[in-house]
Amino acid sequence: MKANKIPLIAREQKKLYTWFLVIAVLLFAAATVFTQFNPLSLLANGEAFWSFLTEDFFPPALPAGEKIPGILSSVVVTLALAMSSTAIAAVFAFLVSLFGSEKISPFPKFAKVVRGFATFLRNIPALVWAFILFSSLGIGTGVGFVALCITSFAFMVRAFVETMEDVSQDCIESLSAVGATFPQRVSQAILPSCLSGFLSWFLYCIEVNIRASTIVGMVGAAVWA
Amino acid sequence: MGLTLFSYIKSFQYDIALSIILLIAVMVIVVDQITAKLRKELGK
Repeated sequence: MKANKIPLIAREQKKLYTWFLVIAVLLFAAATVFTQFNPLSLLANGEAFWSFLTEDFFPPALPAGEKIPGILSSVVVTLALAMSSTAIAAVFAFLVSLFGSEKISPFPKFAKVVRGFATFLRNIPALVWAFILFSSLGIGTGVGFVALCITSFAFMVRAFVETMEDVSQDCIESLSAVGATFPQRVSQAILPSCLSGFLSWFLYCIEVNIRASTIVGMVGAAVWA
Repeated sequence: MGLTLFSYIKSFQYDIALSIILLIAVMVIVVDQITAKLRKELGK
């Protein structure tokens, strides 16, 4: 008697996965040809890369004693840049996000414009903003600050709008029903329910900006050089 | 920080650059831990 095999994956699903794999491999091959990137070159240059890592990079060395205070002060500058840019961006993002939610904004038709503007700003990375600003405003921490402010502002507008959209409408509707004005609805319904969410996004943004401020600093140095 | 790192890389002092990279990593990890803890407290 022939034993019946129970397939682990349905035949149709298996076919779909196979086609997906074939298409992924073909796309990879097409992309390597188009970009003239040879994955084998990584293996060919592996030895040089390894010797660079082991001979030049490792072991790490401490800088000369007189340079340590300068390095520590740059750590403080990086932290301060991330925190100050996030704080300023958060204030503006909160104010703008109130007009970005159709449920809350006093001008619901204007909400899509606000969200579209934030999306446009968010789609340009901090690095690109830094390049644009370095070209127009020159070198300095101020440029890094503005670049981080713009990206954080755009990110937080989106995050704050999403947080506000998740809030139950009952509270806002009941306040509207008794004739509460827009500032009263914000202070009595939005802020109490969304404050922890806002702070959580704000802290996340600080994390992101600490990494980003290091990169923005490197771009500044590269432009300067 | 990036400026300092770039100046060491540019002057081929890769071993010192590695120290700076490690310092950045430590700084990011510490801030990540602090903010994660704060976010957890806020979520309570």
